[in-house]
Amino acid sequence: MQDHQQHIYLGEPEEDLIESLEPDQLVIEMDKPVSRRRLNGYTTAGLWALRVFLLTITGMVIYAFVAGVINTPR
Amino acid sequence: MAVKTEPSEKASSAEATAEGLLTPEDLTRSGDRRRVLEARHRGRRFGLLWLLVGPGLLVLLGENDGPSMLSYAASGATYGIGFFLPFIAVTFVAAVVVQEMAMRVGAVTHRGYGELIFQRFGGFWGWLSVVDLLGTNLVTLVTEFIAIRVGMSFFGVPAPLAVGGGLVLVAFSIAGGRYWRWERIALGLAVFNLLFVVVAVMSRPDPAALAHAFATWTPLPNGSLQLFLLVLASNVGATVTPWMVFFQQSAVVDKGMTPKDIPQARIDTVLGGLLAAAAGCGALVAASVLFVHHVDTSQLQAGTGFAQALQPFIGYPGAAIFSLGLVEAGALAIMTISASTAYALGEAVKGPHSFNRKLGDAKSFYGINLGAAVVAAAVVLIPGAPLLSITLNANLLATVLMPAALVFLIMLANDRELMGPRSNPGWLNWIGIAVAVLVGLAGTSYAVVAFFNTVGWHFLS
Repeated sequence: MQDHQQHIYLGEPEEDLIESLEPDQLVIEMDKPVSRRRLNGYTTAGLWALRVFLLTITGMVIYAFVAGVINTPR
Repeated sequence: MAVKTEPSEKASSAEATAEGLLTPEDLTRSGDRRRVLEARHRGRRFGLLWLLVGPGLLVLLGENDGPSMLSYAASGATYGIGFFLPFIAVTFVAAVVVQEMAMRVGAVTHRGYGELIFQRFGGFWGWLSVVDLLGTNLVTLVTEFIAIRVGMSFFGVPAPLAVGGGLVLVAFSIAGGRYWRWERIALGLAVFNLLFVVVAVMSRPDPAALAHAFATWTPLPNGSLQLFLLVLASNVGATVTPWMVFFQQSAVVDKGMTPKDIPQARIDTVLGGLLAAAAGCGALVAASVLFVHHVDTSQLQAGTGFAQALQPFIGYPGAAIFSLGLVEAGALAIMTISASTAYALGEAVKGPHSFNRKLGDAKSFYGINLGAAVVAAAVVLIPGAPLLSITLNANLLATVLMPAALVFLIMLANDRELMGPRSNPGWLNWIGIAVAVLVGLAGTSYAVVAFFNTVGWHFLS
């Protein structure tokens, strides 16, 4: 049992209170994982390309930031 | 919801009651949902809207945070109202488009954004998304405490007291064990974001000049290309960031919203966009007084800065309201960004991730919520910490990493197995792609110019 599902309620809540939630809104239902999506080769390659590109750009921003901090006179 | 679950067998609410599978979280959420159903049943349109607004307003006003308001003010002080006033308005349109997608995916799937990335695309992409979020959130949280510190210093409040106040606010807001309570505290605080509109009015802008700026996007900025790209990318990062996607989707789930609530949730998101755009433009218009009077603004963000610089032109009351606005911007964002951090990590490790859990039942969720704020607060109090550089770069980091979050969001919103008939229409995909390209270009162009200027190749300065 996941940590999420611990502390199960043991009382008797009002019926209409419980019916206020849709069945798939219950914690026990929301904890069930949705099925894994199969990505085709093009999509996977696109995601990888985007990731490499973003990491490169992030590295450039961080480099410029660190250099700026080091070179700023205190 | 069209989504398949594993195992596929679904229990009804009544069956769950009979089997004793309800958690206190279900009960708390169902109490709030009952009021929504009653309002809908009795045809109380405004009552229903009042119950359902929250995530959209909070995410968009929350993104009008410390560094964002300083970015808008810096835009006005550096370039006047010409180009950036309509540009900021357009970025909020982009933000509303993105956030509507996040809201819709949350309402239909009842799962947070991080949770869906993990389950639908696997742990590798899931952890990359969460690591991106943690990096940007931590840096941004630091800047929120900087905003509080700067705003309070205008009134002579010492830095430790100002920063401690921010932490007390976070601790107080999460202590109730109910999403509704946390949300209403945050909404009460969010109203004060409109202080920037008050300051803008006090700066007595020329209505004709405002209309001219919106109509023509001129005068165009001139001067250093790197500075222009820094301000441009900061403004993009001030309105469209990864934490917003994580937060709104998780908040919609935590609030218990369903597909029937989507019309009201759209109003919530659009209203949030309008109010946030008004406040953001207000900060720019107020600070444009400094541009008109040729005040050097290059170092203003380091101290009480803008408020003191504005005081000769808008008086002490105006400067004080500007400072209070900064404090509000930082305080609200600490709450929302800490929450997005706790939601995302809880979803990643399959731990508790709901404000509807009691403190003792969700120690990790509340611990991360407060812990993230404590770490950021500690950085702000380090003597000699480069607060100015951190503030300027916080939005940039968000801008650079946003395209990845956008691509996954668009994929989720188009996932017919998850979304069924509520998946994105084609025209919305084109707008979403345009937003991703705009954000990507803004971040990339600044990064390239700043990097080559830093290594000494000044061909683009």
